[in-house]
Amino acid sequence: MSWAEVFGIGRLSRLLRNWSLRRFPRRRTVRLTQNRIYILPTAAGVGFIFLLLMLLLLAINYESNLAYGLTFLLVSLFILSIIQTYANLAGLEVTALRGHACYAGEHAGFTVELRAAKGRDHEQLVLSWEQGTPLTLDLTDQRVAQIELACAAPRRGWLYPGPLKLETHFPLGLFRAWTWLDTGLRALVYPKPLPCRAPESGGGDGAMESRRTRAQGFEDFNGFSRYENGVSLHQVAWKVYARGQGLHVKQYAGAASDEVWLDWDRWPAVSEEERLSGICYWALELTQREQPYGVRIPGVSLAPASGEAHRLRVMRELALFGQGA
Amino acid sequence: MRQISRAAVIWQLIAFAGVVIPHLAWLPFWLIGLCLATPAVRLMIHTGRWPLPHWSVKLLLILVVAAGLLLSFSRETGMDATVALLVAGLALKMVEIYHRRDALVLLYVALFVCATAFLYHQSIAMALYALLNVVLVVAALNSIYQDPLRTDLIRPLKRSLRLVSLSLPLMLVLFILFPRIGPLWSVSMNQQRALSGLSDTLAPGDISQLTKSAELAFRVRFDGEVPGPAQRYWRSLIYSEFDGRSWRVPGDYEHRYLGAETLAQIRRSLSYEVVYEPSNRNWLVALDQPLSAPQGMRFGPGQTLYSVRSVDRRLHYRLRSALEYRLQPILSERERSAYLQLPNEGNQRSREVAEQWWQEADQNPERFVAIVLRQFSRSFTYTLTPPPLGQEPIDRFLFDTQQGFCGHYAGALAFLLRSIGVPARVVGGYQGGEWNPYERYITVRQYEAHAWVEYWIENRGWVRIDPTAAVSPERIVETADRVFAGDPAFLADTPLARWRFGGSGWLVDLRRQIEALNFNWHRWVLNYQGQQMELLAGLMGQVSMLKMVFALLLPFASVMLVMAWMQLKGRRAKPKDPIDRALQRLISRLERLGIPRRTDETLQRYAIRVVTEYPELSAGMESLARQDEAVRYAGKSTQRRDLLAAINDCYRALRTVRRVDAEDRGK
Repeated sequence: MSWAEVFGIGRLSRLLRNWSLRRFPRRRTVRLTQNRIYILPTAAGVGFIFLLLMLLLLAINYESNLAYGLTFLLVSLFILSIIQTYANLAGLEVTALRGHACYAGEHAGFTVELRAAKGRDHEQLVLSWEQGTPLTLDLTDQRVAQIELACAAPRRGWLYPGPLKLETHFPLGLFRAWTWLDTGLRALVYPKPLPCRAPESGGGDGAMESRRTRAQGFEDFNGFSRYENGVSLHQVAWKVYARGQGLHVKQYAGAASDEVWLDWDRWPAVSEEERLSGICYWALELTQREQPYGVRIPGVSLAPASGEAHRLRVMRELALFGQGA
Repeated sequence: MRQISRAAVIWQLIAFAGVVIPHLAWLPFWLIGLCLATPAVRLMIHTGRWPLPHWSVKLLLILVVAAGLLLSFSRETGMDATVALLVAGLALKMVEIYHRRDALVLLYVALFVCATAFLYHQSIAMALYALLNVVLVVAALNSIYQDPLRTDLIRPLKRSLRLVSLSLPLMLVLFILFPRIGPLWSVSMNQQRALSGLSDTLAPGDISQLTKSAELAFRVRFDGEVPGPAQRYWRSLIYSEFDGRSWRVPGDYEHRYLGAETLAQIRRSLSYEVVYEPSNRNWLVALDQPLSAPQGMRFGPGQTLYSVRSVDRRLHYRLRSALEYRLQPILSERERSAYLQLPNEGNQRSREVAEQWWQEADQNPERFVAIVLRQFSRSFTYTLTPPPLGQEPIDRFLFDTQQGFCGHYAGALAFLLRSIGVPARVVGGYQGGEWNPYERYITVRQYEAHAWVEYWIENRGWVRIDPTAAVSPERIVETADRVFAGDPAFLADTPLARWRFGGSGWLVDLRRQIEALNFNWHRWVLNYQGQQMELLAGLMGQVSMLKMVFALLLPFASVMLVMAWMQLKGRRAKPKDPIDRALQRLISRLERLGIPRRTDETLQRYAIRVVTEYPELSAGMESLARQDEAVRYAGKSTQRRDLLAAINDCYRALRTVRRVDAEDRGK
């Protein structure tokens, strides 16, 4: 927490942020320069100024030139640390790469690439979204780093993480240099999957009963097979893996090739979000069992299919349902 | 609340130790014990052998330390108590260094304690040590802000060295330009112990005590002409009261009417600068007769120079002194009676013989003095270890022992003069001084303390007469250390005195060179104040506000610019391996010639590409590529040497190629 916030200047800081973001067009790659980097003393820096005043008083009252010298050495160190802290951010190249989808209530990850300025090290860079946990990294031996920065995703739909804040207190903690970047990144947030009763199939061709029995057969566990590349991670038997027996995939008896429809209209009458969550849960379940399924929600109908691409399509529709875009 | 890393804890310990060490000399024993114990406790915690202390333990510690401080320093309020309090606080904080904020408090207080060390020592060594301390503290500060996973202890030190060395130029600018103002409130240095030097009473044996000490008394640098050894009479005190045994400076009451005296008919005067060592007393020294008293000083009895405050730190002052003059040609009744004061009785034989000589001299003071001095030179000896005198000291000295040091002779002569009605006084001060050829100044030490006599003659005023000169003329012309070189009592308290003082030799030369360095340190660094204004005025002519602002800002801004440039230009990462370094040099040269190496290109492919452009290099590049392969896949040290040679061959070949190119273009 910066001292500006402690003294209740949070509003001022927000105004500064918004003004700073308006000054620069949104770009994928940004090189940090002096017109973007802000720098102010930290609480520790203010403490240091107090120390300098005390030392100056000592020097004046005891007329000790060596104490003057020490004071001035620390004053110039203080001034130098402005430049040092600034240099720790300046020249850094930040590229916003992509946002990763997640389910509501989780954290969405955003991939950001940092490239060090030529011939300079950057240490203890702190990156954070407003709603996310900060991440600290050094760019010393490694000149380029791709990092994944998490941002809380409370609701489904597009998640705009807001400006990316990059700050640093390095090297002496006396100053805080920071900047805000409008990355333009966004991530899709799927509805939170909520387990619910198995859906009634919406096929309408009288085959419903048999399908329901089969649907209940979803739970029949049939054994393990070895993991192969490309199999969804949801199917991995993590408990087996945790016992140290390698990666295995759960196999279900019911995973035959029957079509199932996840139909909005036939869903038990609950609220919109709960319906979406339920559909999402079953879509994931069915994908995991590699059983084709179709989805019908108002305005959208996806023909039964299985596989990762289908799942993504379904998830996208669910996420954006009723959101216009 | 961030927890600090393990490396940072170690750094806090180092910084703490560095800062406390200069104070160990005077801190009470229990506090030194505390300073040793708490880092040890922290180390035990650090290594996981002990847990962090419970709050009750901490509270107990604080109470015990507070009680200790109250007991040790209850009667003092000066800097000692403050520093002790800070050191105790540091030591206690050491135990609970855990969070970033703890470390910050520790380091800031440590910096302040580091500065307080200057109140005790101001030597060059101390300044360098403090600089080292700053480096350590800054490293400690850096260590709490660096990646907590780094365990490298050297890294913060390197960073700190870089930061501190970059700060030095700006510090210098600030040091020179910052205006010095007087103290905002009066502070005492809290050093009540008496330092060696002259005292306000003069018993016959006192000055010979001083000859045991080679401590510095003061140093003088003359602007132009330097007076010869026989003229170097540094006056310090006037002893006007005699109680039958010892001489005493006038009390506070007499000070008022025995003040400044009239100085007339000045013919020869010199100006000079005095660097006076702290004495914790008020009196100072001046060569012969100073013309006026500088600021903060006044004239005491007999035109001696006094400081208004007791001299508790090294004092610098400039004076102008007269060597040929008339002092107080007219004596007031009060002065006359003060300088004729004698006890009513005692030393009867001396009084009688004085009367006898007074008649022999036809009541002429100068002739009388000549008779006395003749007596002295005939049968008296000058010695550092005179026999004790007991009661009636003047009688015993003149008629029995006839052995004495300058105090004996001066006291006896003044007594004789007073007894026949000639105003006289004993003057205490220093005589002589060692010439330092390296920095051209005079060093006066405690062993050069001296006493002589001034007596008053109608119309001529006070006249100086040095009875020691009659007994031991070489004492006046030579330096004291040469005169006493053979006497075992001389410098008895000073180790290595035989070699360091007296005579000559490389050790004496070395000592003088070190002293010259210290003298410059005292004059230019410790005494630097206000000169910058004179300097600026000299440089700019008329001082105006605008010019001042420019004079302050210009150096500041330029140093800042250089600093910023050095920070932001980055540094070319130089590979540590000599082969990589040589290769980088070669490739960057080739790059400038227009053949950049692509990032995905092997050295072999690159070599082929280079050769197509520069066929002259084919032999070198081929050998290079072959050696590189050999090193990469076989890796013997002899092959590494060959590879390095191959790279350097190519580089040299490339230079000749370029030269040929340039010549071709020239044609």
